[in-house]
Amino acid sequence: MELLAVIIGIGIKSIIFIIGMFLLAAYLTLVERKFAGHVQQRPGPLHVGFHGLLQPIADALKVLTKEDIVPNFVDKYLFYLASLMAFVPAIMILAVIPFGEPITIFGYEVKPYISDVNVGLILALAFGSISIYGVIFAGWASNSKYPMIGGLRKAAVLIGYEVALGFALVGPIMLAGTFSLREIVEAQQGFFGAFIWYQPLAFVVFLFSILAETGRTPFDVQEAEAELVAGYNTEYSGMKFGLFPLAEWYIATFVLSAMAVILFFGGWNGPHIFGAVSPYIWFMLKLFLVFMFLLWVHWTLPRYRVDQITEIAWKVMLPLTFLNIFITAGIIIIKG
Amino acid sequence: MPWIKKEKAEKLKEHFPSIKINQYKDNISVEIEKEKLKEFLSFLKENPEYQFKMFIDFSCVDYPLSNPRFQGVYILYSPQYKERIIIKTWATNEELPTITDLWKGAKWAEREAYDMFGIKFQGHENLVRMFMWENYPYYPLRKDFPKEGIKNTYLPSLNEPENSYPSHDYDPYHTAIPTLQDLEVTQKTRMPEKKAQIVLNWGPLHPGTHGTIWFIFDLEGETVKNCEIILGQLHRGIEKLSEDITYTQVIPYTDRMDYISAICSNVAYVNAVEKLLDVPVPEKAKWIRTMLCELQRINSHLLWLGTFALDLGALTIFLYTFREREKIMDIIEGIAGIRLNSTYMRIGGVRMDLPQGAIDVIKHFIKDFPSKLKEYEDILTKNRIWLRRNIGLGIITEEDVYSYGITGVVARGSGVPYDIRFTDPTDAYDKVDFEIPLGTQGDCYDRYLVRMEEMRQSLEIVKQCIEKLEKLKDDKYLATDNPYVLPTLEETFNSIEAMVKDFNLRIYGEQAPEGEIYSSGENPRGELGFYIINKGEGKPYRLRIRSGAFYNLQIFPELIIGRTVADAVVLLGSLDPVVGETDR
Amino acid sequence: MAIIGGNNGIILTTVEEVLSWGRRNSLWPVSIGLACCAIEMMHTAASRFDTDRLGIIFRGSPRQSDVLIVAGTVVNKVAPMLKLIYDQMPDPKWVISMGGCSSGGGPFPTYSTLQGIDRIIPVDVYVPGCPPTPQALLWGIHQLQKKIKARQEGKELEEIPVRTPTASFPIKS
Repeated sequence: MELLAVIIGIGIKSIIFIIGMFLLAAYLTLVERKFAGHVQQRPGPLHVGFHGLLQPIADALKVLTKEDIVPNFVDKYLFYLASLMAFVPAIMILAVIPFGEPITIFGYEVKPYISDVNVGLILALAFGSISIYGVIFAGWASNSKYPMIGGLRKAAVLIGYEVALGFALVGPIMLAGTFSLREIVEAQQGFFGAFIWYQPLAFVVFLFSILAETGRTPFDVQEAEAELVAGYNTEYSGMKFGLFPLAEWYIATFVLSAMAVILFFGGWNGPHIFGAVSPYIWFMLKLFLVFMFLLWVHWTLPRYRVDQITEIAWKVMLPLTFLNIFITAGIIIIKG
Repeated sequence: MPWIKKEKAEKLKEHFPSIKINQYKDNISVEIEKEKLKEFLSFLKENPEYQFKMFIDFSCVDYPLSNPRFQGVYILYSPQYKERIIIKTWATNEELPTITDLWKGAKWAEREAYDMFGIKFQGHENLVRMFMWENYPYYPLRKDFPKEGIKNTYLPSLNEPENSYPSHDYDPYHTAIPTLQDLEVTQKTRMPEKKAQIVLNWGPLHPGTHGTIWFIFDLEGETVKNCEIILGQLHRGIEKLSEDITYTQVIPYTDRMDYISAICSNVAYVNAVEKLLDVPVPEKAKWIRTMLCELQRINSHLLWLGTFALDLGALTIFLYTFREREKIMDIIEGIAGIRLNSTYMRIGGVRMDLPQGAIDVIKHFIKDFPSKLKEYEDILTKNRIWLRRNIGLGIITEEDVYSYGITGVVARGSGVPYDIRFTDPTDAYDKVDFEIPLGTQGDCYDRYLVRMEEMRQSLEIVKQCIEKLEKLKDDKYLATDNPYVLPTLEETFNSIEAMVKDFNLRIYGEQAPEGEIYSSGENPRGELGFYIINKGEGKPYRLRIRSGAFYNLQIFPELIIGRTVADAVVLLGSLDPVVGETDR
Repeated sequence: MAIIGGNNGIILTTVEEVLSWGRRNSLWPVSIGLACCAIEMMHTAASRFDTDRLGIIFRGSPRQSDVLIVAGTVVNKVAPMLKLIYDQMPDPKWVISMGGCSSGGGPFPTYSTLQGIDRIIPVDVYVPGCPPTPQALLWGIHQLQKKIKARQEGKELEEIPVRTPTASFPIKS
């Protein structure tokens, strides 16, 4: 009986998370378009609904009812699989991300996360790595030249930055002494308890890796419009296309920003000035700021060439993470 | 004036006694027989007294009644003595020797002559069509080919309902459209064999190719092993069209060639015609022209900066530059009445006087613009990503500049001080004070810096023009006393003489004296030259347009080999071609 | 509110109306520029006129776009490729012919120019001008939106009333 309740609870929570994430991702497109608009001295979506508030719905309706072309020359099985492979792992990371402390509502203890596994961080990294296959499959299955080049570029970038990302996380893990994301947050108490003060190097590498993983500007070689039309998703249309930017630009960015908040900014820790909901507000505020920072970078910088990106990954980022690990380990040993 | 002196040209007879020297105004042309052409050209190139090292243009003229029928016209420039010369030769048997071994820049020009006139070039490495597709059966620029083409294909409009009166003047029969197979054949002839892994068609309808240029890359991984360019996706036949209309009617077509710097093209063309017709231009019109040219240059460079940054991923710069462009467009709209293709110039002046308040608006723009320019520079010039993408890419040497006939910013980026505003100053350029920025390395970054500095210099020129124009408030802006100049609208409606003159000029055209002229202007994209031959009619017998972008683009395949596709975008952006001008 | 029986039930029409609303408020054009008009198209997308206000963003790939704005002269050589682009676009799709050249050849009645793109692809809205100003293109987009709405309601878009021209130049005595 108890098991059934747990399963139902997790099921309900999963559905809430997935639907919530869909809506959130749709509205993140609006946030990005508004943000980009204001960076570029224009209003952004304005006339569809109040200040463009219905814009994501119009886009979704259109994309969903668009003819779904599967060209004759593609590898059909992989072609379908690729968009799912890109989308599902990105949303699966949500399973291990905690959004706050467990709270009690009407006598029930509600945990604002789906599961708190003790290897949460590893799981998140693993799910993230699966997304690579979506991109490579999309490029390969399209059987067309631009998607293939785009897919291979993205694969080259991701391989480089997955390694740097993994090693960058070693520092915070050593400080916290756990893989559980919830416990990592609990290890960062107080303003100066946040790991950003102790792990600035790791944070910088992590930030670069987020940009590379989510394909945002200095690293957006996979769909550099001037070179590759639309990169690996050139042949995709309708909702199969819609899943790619949704997964890559919004859900992955959101999830990785959440990880950055958890690992470096002390998660939901903050002064209790908003009453009972203050942890959530702090978490969302920090997350929003990190997300906005990423958008800011995206809409400002030009992009690197793909060989320069991998060069930075292997020659700069990776050695930096090693240095960070050695320094952290040394300090831990000295301080006992 | 950058033309060889008659005495100096006469001296050539010591070496080549058979040449004939002609002069019209200051243009000196030398006629030589075909057999001695190569020898003569290499003499001109090598001899230390002449040193005509730089290739400017090659074109053909069709004389259907004479035998041999076609005449080749070469225009050369000597950077040492700052002189130009025209060399002519008759193409017996419709054949000419190739000069691609002397100047690489002749490759496309000869292809174009083959495409348009059907002249064969002995020794040309790959003589294929330049603008039209393979299997195209005609040679359009021959005089016996009708300008509207041979309408032999039934191609009705899909929107016109059948059996109803058409909404516009249209013919269901149309000129032949190539099939996709024809285009495939065209592509195969350009790049006959695949050397590396994949052949990538970059273009023609592609967001990154600045219009409709069609690149073929032979790729090994992402490295370009071989590259070819197919032009002609915007070949509209402006040269053919202008053989059938009066000189004034050609002005709107010069707008639509280089649509980003329409006013500069107008001025270059109008100057050529004025030189041909000996029309004096009022002082005020000269200053207005200079001012608008420089505003247009800023405008054009801003578009270049925006698209260049966009190609490199910096989307926001694109929108920032368009903010400034809108201001200039408003100024031009206020003065000329039209935003983009303004057709503001007229033979003998400008179309309208400066409106009230125009100077104040421009003054405000001048005050405002340097801070915006600094904003762009702050974001880009020292940006590490920008530096890494630009430095060391696409290095053009001085030799390349001469050999390919590269002009404009691309030449100056390589340190060649070739600027028509200096060597052959038209309008008020000899009265204004400005500097010409030169690059040192000749790479993309140098070209970027040169263009940024040029915008500042243009601003200086505009300032000087404004100072002058404030003094010239009530002067004439159109030399209507001259018999070749169209009267203003007001005069036409108010006096019968002006009306008759207007009628005559519009119907019969400017009856120019027989002669030929080559005159050029410094466009933002390089030297835009007009070679006009007149046979005493009211319309040009042949109007050859020497396009800067056409020759600048030619070096692209050589520079990109060994680099990646991502570099191709940067290189193309820094060469800054406009397809309307390359294809005409 | 009256519920009417039959195939054309109220629920169906509402769904259709909602879909039509979504489509006309999210028109994504292919970012293909051919000639002069492309510059004005870029100006329309840039800060001052900002098509993003209306939910219009330019996509590079024809597979992901709804509208083909033919901006500039289409010459014979590029016509089959333009047709290819049009064929690659998924339904429902629309075509805006921007400027004189693409609408009917414009000032280029020559051997190499296509005299109107309606000879190869069906056109929904013609925007006059050489080149049309950004305002004119926005007008064209609005017109297309009206057309989509009218088609959903089973009507054809009404003819635009032609205003009688007034003398543009005052003749002084």
